[in-house]
Amino acid sequence: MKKTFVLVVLGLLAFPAISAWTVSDLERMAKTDVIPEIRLAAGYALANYYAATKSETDLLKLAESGATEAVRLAASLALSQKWVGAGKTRDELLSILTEGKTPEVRAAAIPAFTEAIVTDKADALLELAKTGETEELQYAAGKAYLQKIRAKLNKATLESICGDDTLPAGYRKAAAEVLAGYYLFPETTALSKAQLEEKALKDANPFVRYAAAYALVNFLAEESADALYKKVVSMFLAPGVSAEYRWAYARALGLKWAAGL
Amino acid sequence: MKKFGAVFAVVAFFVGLALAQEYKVVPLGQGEWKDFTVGKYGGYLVVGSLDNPKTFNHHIAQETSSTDVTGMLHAGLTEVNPITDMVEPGLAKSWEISEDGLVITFHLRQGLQWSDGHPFTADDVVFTFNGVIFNEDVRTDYRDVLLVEDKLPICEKVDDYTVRFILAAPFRPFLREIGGAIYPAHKLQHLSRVYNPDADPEALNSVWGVDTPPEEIVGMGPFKLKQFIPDQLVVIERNPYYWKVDPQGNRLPYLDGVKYVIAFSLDTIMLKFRNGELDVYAPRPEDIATLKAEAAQKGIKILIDPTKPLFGTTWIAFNQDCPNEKLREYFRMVEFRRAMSHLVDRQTIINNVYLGLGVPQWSPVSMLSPFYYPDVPKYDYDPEAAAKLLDQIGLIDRNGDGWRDFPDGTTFEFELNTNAGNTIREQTCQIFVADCAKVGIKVNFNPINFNALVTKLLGGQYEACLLGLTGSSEPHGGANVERSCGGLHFWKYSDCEDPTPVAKRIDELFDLGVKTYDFNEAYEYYKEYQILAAENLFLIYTVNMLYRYAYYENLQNTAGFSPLAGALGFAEVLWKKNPNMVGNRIVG
Repeated sequence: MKKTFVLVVLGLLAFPAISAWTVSDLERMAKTDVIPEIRLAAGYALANYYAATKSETDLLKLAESGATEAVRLAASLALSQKWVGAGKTRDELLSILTEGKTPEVRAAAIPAFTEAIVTDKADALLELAKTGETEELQYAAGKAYLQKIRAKLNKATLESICGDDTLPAGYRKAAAEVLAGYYLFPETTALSKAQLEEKALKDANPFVRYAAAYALVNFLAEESADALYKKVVSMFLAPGVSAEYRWAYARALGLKWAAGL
Repeated sequence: MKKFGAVFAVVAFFVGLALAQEYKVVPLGQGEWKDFTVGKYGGYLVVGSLDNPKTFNHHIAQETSSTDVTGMLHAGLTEVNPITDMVEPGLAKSWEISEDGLVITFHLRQGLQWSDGHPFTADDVVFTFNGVIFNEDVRTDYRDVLLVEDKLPICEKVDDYTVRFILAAPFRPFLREIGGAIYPAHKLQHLSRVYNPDADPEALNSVWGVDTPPEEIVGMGPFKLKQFIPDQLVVIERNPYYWKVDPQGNRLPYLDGVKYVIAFSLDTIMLKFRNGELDVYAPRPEDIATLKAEAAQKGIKILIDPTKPLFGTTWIAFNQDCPNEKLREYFRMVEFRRAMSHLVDRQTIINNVYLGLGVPQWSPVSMLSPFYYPDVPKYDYDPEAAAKLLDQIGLIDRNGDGWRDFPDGTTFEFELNTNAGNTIREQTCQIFVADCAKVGIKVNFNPINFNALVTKLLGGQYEACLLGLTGSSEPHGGANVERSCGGLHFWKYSDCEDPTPVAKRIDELFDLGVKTYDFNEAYEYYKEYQILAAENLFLIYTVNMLYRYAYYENLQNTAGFSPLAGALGFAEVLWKKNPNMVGNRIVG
């Protein structure tokens, strides 16, 4: 097994990373690549193309029953673009967030729903973030709530939310994404790339690791597609590499591939 | 016949070529425009707006929800380069100033057309100034900035493309100030009693209201009005007759138009920007962390310039003509206003509200202006000094309830307004209210809708308010605020009939500052003005924010964004890499 692993990794590393894949290449990778983070990167890269070329009905179908998580992710991101500003009512969006068939369908309603609720009172948003029946609804409400009270937020408050096991995952995920910003600003207290990598790899709390990874993407986006690809491949099956850290590299690689389309 | 047709075509071509040479070329890629590129046509710039426009009549409008739109529809004889802040030819391609500085002759570009195709001539310029701006029937603040020794210039037509202004005295900022919007004589002249004695005196105030059919609003600006849906959207579209071109001769603007999405809260506008529904956003300090986190993933560029505080001012005003006579008496005391300035904790506001992205502000003149004087008297945060001053003027706690009282024993309290939804102003007010309470001053904080606040302010019906004013490099741009009879002299309109000695001196300084073409002499006048303003605290300045801007990377020619001009200021040269995108979303 180990020998096979080494051969597979060496083989993939030998394959030149191309920053400008075609849509067919990306769709193939999103469906069939052996490395999950490559599939994920391809999914991210396809989102805008899907938004431009597929209908709402087709995207909904793909988000429900696409062959892999990456394909469903691409459809979800594209669908969310279609639903923003499309005149869907709050109740319609809420229904999708709670009853959508897959996490990807539910996630597609998040941006439009946050817009529908952001003028609600902060207390009501917090309540929804804490008690929403799906992770996506918790996340959407959390995102709206945290934006609303952003003037009162700081790193410590957000790390506390991330570390609070009594709070639901969706809300903690929203908090992590805001915490990422406090790892980058103000400049006087910002973390370096190395510090973010350390945190994304090793922090005991998965939401803090996610926050660090989320911030890290901003550094990784400056690297070449080739370097990102090799890193993703080298991490395949490597022990001790957190899921959040891998995600950061996949996300950045997806950005590069999307730019090349 | 064929021969005639060929000759005609050749003649028309050369005439067209000659006329095109009258167009202004924006030198993208050269000089101060070196970081700019020739663009491609297509797409709309989509921006957020906090309120509906109140009017589409640019010269009447007094709020940014209106002027953000109307400013895009018009052009003036001169214009200010948004990169260098220098005055440049606009609709006038050149001018001469007489030796005595009293006569300025403008030569207009020839062959230009209004947005409805009608020819532009000197008649339009003369109508604009004589029939609109100088016309006392018209409630425009623009008139105030053109006064020289309380006299307006004489505007005369020399010929179809030459206009002359005769000033009562040399007027240094004239070339900058004369760049106000030129209005179309063919559409509006009949509404001016200067041209039509039977016209309704209110006609030019009410024309071009928000229910006007868009095609009726005609201008020389890069865009023209297309649509207004109240509470939802304003759309302006490319003016097909715009008179500027890029270095390759392509008529500007590149954008098909601008859309203003109306949302009544900053929270909604920010979220719309994050969702990719808006192309640009002016982030508050508390927004930056959230945007930075997702910047790379969403393709957002965030610009923060630590060397450039914004133009403009944020201040607390006490209505010295307050309807409440008891309050009025104290608001008119300079000791009271100094006490209030001592209760503005500017550093805490910078740290907590502006997240470090601000500087204390002491002067009415923008810090980027060459006329700015930094060493004015400063009544900085000092609650003890505030308490002493309040004791001195007889505001003491007479009944032991913790609040200071009027001499008659009733509680000294006042209402403080600001515009609801502006979180920075609301938080600044809350900090001020808390600091006032520490020394026993009761402040009833009541944030209200922006347009309602402006109405209250201009109607003299407020007690105290925290608001802001735009600014520029030219101190005389604030004449409509600082002059005793200025249209925005909202802290004491009664100064017009009965000016205090200080108000009189400021009026004098504003006259002197513009009479000299000598910069150093002008500087000394504006320095004295700033000292008087700081000593008397007609407006209590708070904090000046550092410049910040956020935009999606699809937008091009953004290199010039600065306190001088953001997206709207550069709209005529902006373009989109993918015209079918708004933000980071495909929309068409």
